[in-house]
Amino acid sequence: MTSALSVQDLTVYYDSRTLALKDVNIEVPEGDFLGILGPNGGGKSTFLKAIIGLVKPEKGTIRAFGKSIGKERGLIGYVPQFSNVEHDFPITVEQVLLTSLVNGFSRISSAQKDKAHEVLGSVGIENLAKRNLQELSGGEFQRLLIARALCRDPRLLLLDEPTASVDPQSRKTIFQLLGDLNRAGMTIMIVSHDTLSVSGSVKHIACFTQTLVYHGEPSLSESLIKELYGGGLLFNA
Amino acid sequence: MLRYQFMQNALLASIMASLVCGVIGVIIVERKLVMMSGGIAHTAFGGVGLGYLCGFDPMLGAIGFSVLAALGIGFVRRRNGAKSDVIIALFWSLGMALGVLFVALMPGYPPDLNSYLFGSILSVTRQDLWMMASLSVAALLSIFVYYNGWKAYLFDPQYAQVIGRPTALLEYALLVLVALCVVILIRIVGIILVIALFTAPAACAAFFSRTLEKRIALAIGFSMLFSVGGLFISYGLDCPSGTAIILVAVTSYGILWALKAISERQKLKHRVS
Repeated sequence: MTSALSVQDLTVYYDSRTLALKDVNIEVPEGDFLGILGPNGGGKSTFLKAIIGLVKPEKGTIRAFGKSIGKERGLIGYVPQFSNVEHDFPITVEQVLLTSLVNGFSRISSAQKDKAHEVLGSVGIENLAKRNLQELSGGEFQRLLIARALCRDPRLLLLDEPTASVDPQSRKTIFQLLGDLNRAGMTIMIVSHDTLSVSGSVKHIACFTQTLVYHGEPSLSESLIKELYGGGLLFNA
Repeated sequence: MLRYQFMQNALLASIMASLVCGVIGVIIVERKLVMMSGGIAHTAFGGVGLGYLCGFDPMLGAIGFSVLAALGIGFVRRRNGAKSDVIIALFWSLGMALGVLFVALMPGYPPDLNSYLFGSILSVTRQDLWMMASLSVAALLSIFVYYNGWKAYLFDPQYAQVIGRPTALLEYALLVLVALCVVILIRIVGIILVIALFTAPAACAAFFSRTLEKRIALAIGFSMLFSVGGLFISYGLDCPSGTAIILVAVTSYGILWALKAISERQKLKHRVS
């Protein structure tokens, strides 16, 4: 099976001073559903940002579907953290998807509108198409962000904390949706604090504390949790 | 009084200024670039002073200085991120200081700078009008030709970058547009009052509309209302036009804000009972 993502010797500095990731090597096979876990500041979000080119690695290579990420950007969908997107911008749900679909110079075509509605339907918020952002609940807004990534037909979907600001019911819906997408062949990588929900849904997990400390089956051993969240380390300090 | 040439010029100038103000003002408010616009505007004063000192049109000096300030602030902002308010403050006062210095170095009797600081819409000349018109057309065209791209960028710059939009270029272009609009507005409200005319119409429009397009259209309307209203007051009371326009704008904003607060309280009461 080909690799959806292949990362070698990735080292990234945050703010050009603080080390965020060191010598990370990871292969993500196509069709995988990978949960990325780790403590705050462990480099999870930075890892996603490096993959989509928002932060520049100090060294190392990142390849998606066998090609360097600069060229394969269209194949990667990105769902940013909820809190990184403005909630009060004057824009409707439908327009958010269209801004992602349309080239800046051209007018919006009816095919693009159809596409937007189809994708909204697939995440279950088609009825909200004409709503404004301010009128959405946390779960609806999160699904909109997922729809925005999906409308570009990615083969690899990266999500940064997609269940951080949503109610339990929406969390369930979102994981169901991601499970369906994964069964349909999409490779999914999800960063989360929500260890329990993630380990129940994903195929593999990768744990980061600056380096990749674990990559494998989604079963967390006690020693791993200590290494990740620092149970024992506290006493040493 | 519309039969006077200066009144016709003043009216044309306020209509043009309102078009730009509505579009750029909404963008500035949404992208939270208000203070940056203030910095760019005040830096323009250095150019006005240099124009007087070297004997060229002070407005050309203002264009040069404000565009350079826009590029400079943009560059530092990309490098340092959140620390940009420091650099804005430095540009802001450096521009004013240079303006005063250049004028002080001028031999002979110092010129009256009040019209640059507080606007002087009644003394707008045909030449000013042509310059304002060409700058307005350039600014509006660059927004509307790439409107959907701008919208994606304004809503979520980071995502726009992820999907391969030229966000660095857009960021600089936006600041340069702000600089050009500052120059358009200098004759109307003056350097010191520019940010109020950028923000008040956009903020008033935000009370009534929830899409970007409607907000821009309404902001243009409010801007016309304020500048034409201010123009007549300025004519009637013989005071600087900027002062009159800004007083009208800020008072209107205050009234709308109060009305909105009252109506929301009543809605809340209605819901509770």
